[in-house]
Amino acid sequence: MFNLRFTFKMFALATCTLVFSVAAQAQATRTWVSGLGDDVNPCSRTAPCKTFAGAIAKTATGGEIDALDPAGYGTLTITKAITVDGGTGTGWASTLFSLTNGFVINITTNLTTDRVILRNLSINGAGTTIGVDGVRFIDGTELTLENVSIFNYSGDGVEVNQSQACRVNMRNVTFSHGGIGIKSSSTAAAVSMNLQDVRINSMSSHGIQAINNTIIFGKNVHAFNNGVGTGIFGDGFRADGTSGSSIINCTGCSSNANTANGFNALNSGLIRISDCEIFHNASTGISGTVRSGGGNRFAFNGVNGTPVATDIVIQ
Amino acid sequence: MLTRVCASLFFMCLVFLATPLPASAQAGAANGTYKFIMEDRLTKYLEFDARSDERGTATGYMILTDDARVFFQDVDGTGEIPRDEAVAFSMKADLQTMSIEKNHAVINGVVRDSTYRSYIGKWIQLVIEDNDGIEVPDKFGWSFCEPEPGGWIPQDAEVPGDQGAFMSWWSTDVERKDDVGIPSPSLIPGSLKSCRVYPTFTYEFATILKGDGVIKISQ
Repeated sequence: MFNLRFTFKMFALATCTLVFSVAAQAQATRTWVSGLGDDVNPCSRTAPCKTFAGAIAKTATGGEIDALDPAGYGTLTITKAITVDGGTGTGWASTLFSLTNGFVINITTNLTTDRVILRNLSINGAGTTIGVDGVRFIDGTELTLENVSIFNYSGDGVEVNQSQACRVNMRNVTFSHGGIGIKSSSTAAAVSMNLQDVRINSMSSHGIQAINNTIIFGKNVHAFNNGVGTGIFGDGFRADGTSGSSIINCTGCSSNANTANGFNALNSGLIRISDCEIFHNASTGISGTVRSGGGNRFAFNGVNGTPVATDIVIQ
Repeated sequence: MLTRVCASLFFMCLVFLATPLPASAQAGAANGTYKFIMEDRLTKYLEFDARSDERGTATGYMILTDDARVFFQDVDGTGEIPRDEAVAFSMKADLQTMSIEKNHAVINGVVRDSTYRSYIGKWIQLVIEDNDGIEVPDKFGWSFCEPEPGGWIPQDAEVPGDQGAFMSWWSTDVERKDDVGIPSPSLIPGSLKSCRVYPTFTYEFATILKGDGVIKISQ
């Protein structure tokens, strides 16, 4: 009798276990967005979301949001490590940011893994009132931009404004028709920035402005026709160390047709250039503490300028 | 002896419950309730009950609630004012079609009521997988989707540019000025068939961090 009762109890327990099962599954490392998606969807490939903002909530930290098709996916505030990939299949994903900022990165966890990658994106501030900043990097360890176009804005294409050490990588990035292309400042620790194949043109103010505690390593970085705002004169490259040294190192770069200087080092700012072209700048080709590794070419600047004694060792 | 018989029955029941039910015909039923969370850690709840005939026509309902609120952006620059919904999302849909294949079912319906007015009249597709719930949890995914064109529109071929015979209506409560109404199931005859139905194995299911519930498919 005891055995029979025990068996029935076991049967009931097993049935309850089956009926009220608790499932624990993997996190969503990859989620999807589509122009035909919906943010109430689970953001899977067959049920994609409509916006980056809708997808990021359903994406694991360190995961990736991918676009299924070229469409507008909205602005995004990022508070955890993430990769946003607009895809390359039939075009890039687009973000319109009229009146606001395109991407704001504000990861406050202060982990070495707080990394953000923005890849294959068109970030357009067009509208009745154009957008402010394309990408604002307020807090986080590392930001990488690959194959990104940022245009039509009043503020900065990429603004780094941190109080901790961070790294910024850009490869194949284009800035056009904005206030400043790249602006970087840190109140304490250094911002280390690696730029490769970056083009900045038609800014109302400067192309690149490294204000404080910023060191930039640039290769094939081109600033053209900047300082076109009404009553504004702009430099192509500007190291402006007012309260902390800022350094711009550039190889194979060009700074042409800017309304002020090609390369301008102010206060405690320092610029090193090698194999660069500096043509048609209205004021001065190079100004301030600019050191040369040789191979630079000057023409048709208001004044070409002269580099100071170099600290570049050629071996 | 009795103990052995009971033990055998017990194990047979376990095997029966743990084995996905084979299904080949269209007619059948599917139902379930599932409370779960995804990566956003907000509670979601799914409830549905569907019955279909041999032709795949279904009756029943589906309820989906989500504590997450949706922020609508003007992603295409149309001038639409971005808005943050004040309440959590929930909706109830009338089910229209269901196809069952082994332990999978694809169910389509139309949203009839929702806390978000813009969802009323939208199509929703629910894809479920009935597993043992222990070794392999039940799986499901849902999608609000654009209906694919279907059926046909009668046109007069002798009249150039004839737009065809449209038939639609919009049901509203005239006593309520704020009533947005409910669209008829077929705005164009035969046009709104359902969400696109793919082979069941191609569907991806929602990534559930933690869930509790049961999904059943029977024929």
